[in-house]
Amino acid sequence: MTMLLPIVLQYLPTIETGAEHLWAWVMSVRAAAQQSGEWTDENETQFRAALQASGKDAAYQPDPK
Amino acid sequence: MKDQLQLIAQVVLIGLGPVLAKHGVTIGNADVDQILGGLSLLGGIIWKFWHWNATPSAVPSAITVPIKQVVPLLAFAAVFLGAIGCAPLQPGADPIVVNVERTETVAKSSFDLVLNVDNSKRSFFATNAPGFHNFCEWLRARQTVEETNSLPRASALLVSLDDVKLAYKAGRATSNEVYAVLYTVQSAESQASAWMTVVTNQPSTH
Repeated sequence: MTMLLPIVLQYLPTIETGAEHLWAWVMSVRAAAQQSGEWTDENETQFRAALQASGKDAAYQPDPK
Repeated sequence: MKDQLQLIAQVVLIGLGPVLAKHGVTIGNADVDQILGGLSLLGGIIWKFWHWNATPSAVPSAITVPIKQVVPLLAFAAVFLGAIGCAPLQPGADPIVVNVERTETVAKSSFDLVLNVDNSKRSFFATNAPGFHNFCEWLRARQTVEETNSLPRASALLVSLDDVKLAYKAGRATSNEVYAVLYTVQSAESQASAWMTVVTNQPSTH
């Protein structure tokens, strides 16, 4: 699945805004539903890294004052 | 009135799907959540976005998502959400910890979704949906966590929840403390999901 997803997205260039995030949201719901055990240390590290990275994401930056 | 009923039905479908998929409903030996959760969520999303395939409106749209391209993606999601459904907990897994981690996963992507949608047309949303834009700005406001770590509130909320979860796993926090932070994150996540439904709704032409 993780190999197919980038290929699928690559062939959907006309989606302008939001669809890839909508897809990511659907997949996160699926991942949450499928989770059967506690995160491994690696999962934990990845999640924390993603949170830290969001601090530099343009979408997470407030409007300039 | 019809538009309002339609919007309510869409919100119920999109909201019901993740709830069923996440918490599960089992009647007898049948895993009702596996099928209903996936179908409800996907039905709601397809219905929600279906109007983008209709005749273009003169009123500017919030976002542009050609439904013909989205449907194949949702078909993939149907396979995974509808056919596979919820997984049972492994023996020894703490349901509180797993529930927190599930919430963290969904909340992170919900925040990503609304913030990126708003970021794509900030001036549009600031003018036409100021409530949504203000909510996104609230999520973006810098907060200090772990004493020196400055992050957007959306991330800071999740870091705080994760910190409490880790403290709970280490025996340094109670389940009540975990639930207190969990409810805060779930509240913000619910608002994000609600705004997602509103801002992707086609503006009324009459």
